[in-house]
Amino acid sequence: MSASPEELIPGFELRPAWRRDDAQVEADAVAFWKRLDILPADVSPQQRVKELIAVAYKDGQVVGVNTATLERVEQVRARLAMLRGAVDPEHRRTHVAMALTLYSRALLERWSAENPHERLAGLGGIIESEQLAERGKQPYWPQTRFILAGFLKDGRQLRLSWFEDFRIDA
Amino acid sequence: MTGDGTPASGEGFDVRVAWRRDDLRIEADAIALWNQPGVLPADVRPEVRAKQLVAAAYSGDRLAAVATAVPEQVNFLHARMLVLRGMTAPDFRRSHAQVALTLPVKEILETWAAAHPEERVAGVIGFVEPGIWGEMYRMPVAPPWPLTLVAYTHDGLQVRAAWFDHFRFD
Repeated sequence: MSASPEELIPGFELRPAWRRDDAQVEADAVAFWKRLDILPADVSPQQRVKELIAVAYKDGQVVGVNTATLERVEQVRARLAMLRGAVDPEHRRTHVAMALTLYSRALLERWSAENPHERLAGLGGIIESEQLAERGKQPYWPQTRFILAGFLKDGRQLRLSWFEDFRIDA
Repeated sequence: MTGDGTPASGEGFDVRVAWRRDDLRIEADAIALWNQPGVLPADVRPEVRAKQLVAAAYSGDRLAAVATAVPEQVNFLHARMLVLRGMTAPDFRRSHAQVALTLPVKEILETWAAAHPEERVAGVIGFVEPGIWGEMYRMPVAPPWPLTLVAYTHDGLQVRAAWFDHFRFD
C-alpha cells in the first residue's frame, strides 16, 4: 500500500495534535470519547487529550483518534510511543485506523528527529482489539512496520515499529 | 587480495548452499574451521553443527564464512524459529564474507520453510554481541534482511528477529 494517509480516506480530514494544545481539537476529541463512551472510568478526558497525536474528522465531527504515552520498554531498552487508537464503529470498515496510524507514525518520527534529546525510538502497540484478530495472525505488518516482539501474560501482542533514523546507544 | 592474503572488503565470494544437503565437502571445511581452538563452545560438537549448515562463502577453495540454523521453540514469541549463527574464518574477519551470506541464507530458509509448512517455522532469530556488527548494531532494523531488534538477553546480547512473509499464526 503506497497511498498517503490522506489518500486512503477520501472525504475525511486528518489533523495533527501532538504537543499542540489545540483547544478545538481537544474539545472535539473529548466529545468523541463521550459520544462513544469509550474511556475507562479511571481515565480523565482532560488528561488523555494531552496525549493526542492525531485525529480524523468527517463532516466536522471527530470519528477517530490516536493517542500515545512515551514509555521506556525494558524488553528493548528503548523509549517508545505506546499507541492507542479508537475509531467510531460507524467508520470501522473504512481505512481510518490505518490512515491514522500511518499519519501518527510519520508525525512522531519527524518530532523525534527534531527532538533528539527525547530519545524516542519508535512506536509500540499492545494489540487488544478483537477487530485485529485476523491481522494479529500476521507477525509483521509492512505498511506500518509493526513487528510482533512478544506477548503479555494475558496473551495480548506487543508490537514495535522502529523509526528509521533512530540509533541505539552503543 | 591484500598483501597478507586477506580479501579486500567487497571482494566477491562464491556462496554454496548447504541446507539439508549433507554436502560432505562443505561440512568437512566447516568442521576444520570450528576445530580451531576457541572457536566453538566446549559443549558443541562440530559434527552436529555441520548438519545445521545453511550456506558457506568461499574465496577460491578457502572457506571464508558459514551460516548455520537450527529450529527451536522461542517461548517469548510463541513461535518456532530458526536460530541463526554465523562464523567467519579469522583470515576473513575484515572482509564481507558474512554479509555475502545474508541474502542467500534468507532466500534458502524462507523458501524451505514455505515448502515445509508442517515444520511450522515462523522466521529466524539471532543473538548479536556488542561490537560484532559495527554501526549496524546501533540500527534497530538492520539491513539487508532486515533483522529487527525485539529484545535483549539477560547477559546483554541483542535478540534480532525476522518473520517469514508467508507465516501466519493459527
